[in-house]
Amino acid sequence: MKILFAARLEAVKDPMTFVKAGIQLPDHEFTVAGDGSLKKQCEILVAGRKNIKFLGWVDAENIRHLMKEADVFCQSDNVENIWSSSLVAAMKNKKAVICTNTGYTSKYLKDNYHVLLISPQNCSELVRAIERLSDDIGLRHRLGENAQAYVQENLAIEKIVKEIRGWMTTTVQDRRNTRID
Amino acid sequence: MRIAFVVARVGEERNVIQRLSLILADELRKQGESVDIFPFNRRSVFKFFSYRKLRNYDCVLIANIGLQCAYFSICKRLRLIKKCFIAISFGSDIRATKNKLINLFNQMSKPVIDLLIVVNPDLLDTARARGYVNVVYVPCWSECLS
Repeated sequence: MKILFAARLEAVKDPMTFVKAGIQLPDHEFTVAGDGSLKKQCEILVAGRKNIKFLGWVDAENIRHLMKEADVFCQSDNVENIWSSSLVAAMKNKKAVICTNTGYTSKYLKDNYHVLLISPQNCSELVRAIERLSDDIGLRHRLGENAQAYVQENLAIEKIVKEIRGWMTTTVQDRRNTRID
Repeated sequence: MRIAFVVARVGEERNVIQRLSLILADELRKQGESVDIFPFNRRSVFKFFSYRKLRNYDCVLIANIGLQCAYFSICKRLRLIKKCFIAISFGSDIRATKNKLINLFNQMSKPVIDLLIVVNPDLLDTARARGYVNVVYVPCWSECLS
């Protein structure tokens, strides 16, 4: 199974947990797309294992390609980053997603329905989630389809910007009513 | 509505915030608003009369509440600009509670921001805890980047 991590390699994104899971699961292919201050540390930890690849920073077009190739996308942020571009791209591309349950994530993305939620910095939970997805192709497909439907229903830019315009218009009008510029 | 949109790091391909900001500007235009981008960089800080251009707009929209927001906030506090200020926080700025510079920028801009839009639900709590009063949440439109 091909598992993708795409983020800056910084503490807040916790690439180390992903890499440690890769060490424990040598039969799966782990790809790390991103650059950052933890890159060296990750590479040292991997110590040449062939199932874990580091691609460095990857442009948007190649991320799209990697996303299509992957079976599973993993986001291991320590703080809530529910609408990150890579997570949403994975959902849009019908990928099975493993995501850390931080902040309000579980309010919007249901565990076992849209994504598999795991605790932050918990390598054993990540390993178990990957094994589950590896054993159950049906679950992978269901998660992907539900995730894509969520993006289509809730994250369309036209709808979001309409809401932003509404807030902006109200604020400008309120301010005009209270004082003259 | 005529919107002056202040965006930092325009042209940096790796910067997600500037890409999201430019996408937002395009969509606002598609929905009938008039949006002009005001690229902000460190050199802008020394252009003392750059605030004058903002007078022709109905509101000033600012991407992220960092240096760019603090800079124009000073102009507003000095009453050189009297327009409505709307800021969008993508999180990195408002979460940097240990960064003294960001804290200072936040302190400077907070009183003059009429509306703060956040794109992650937990940022509502964070922003209110930091003293922002008029805060709203909308989901991020990062879907457009994929």
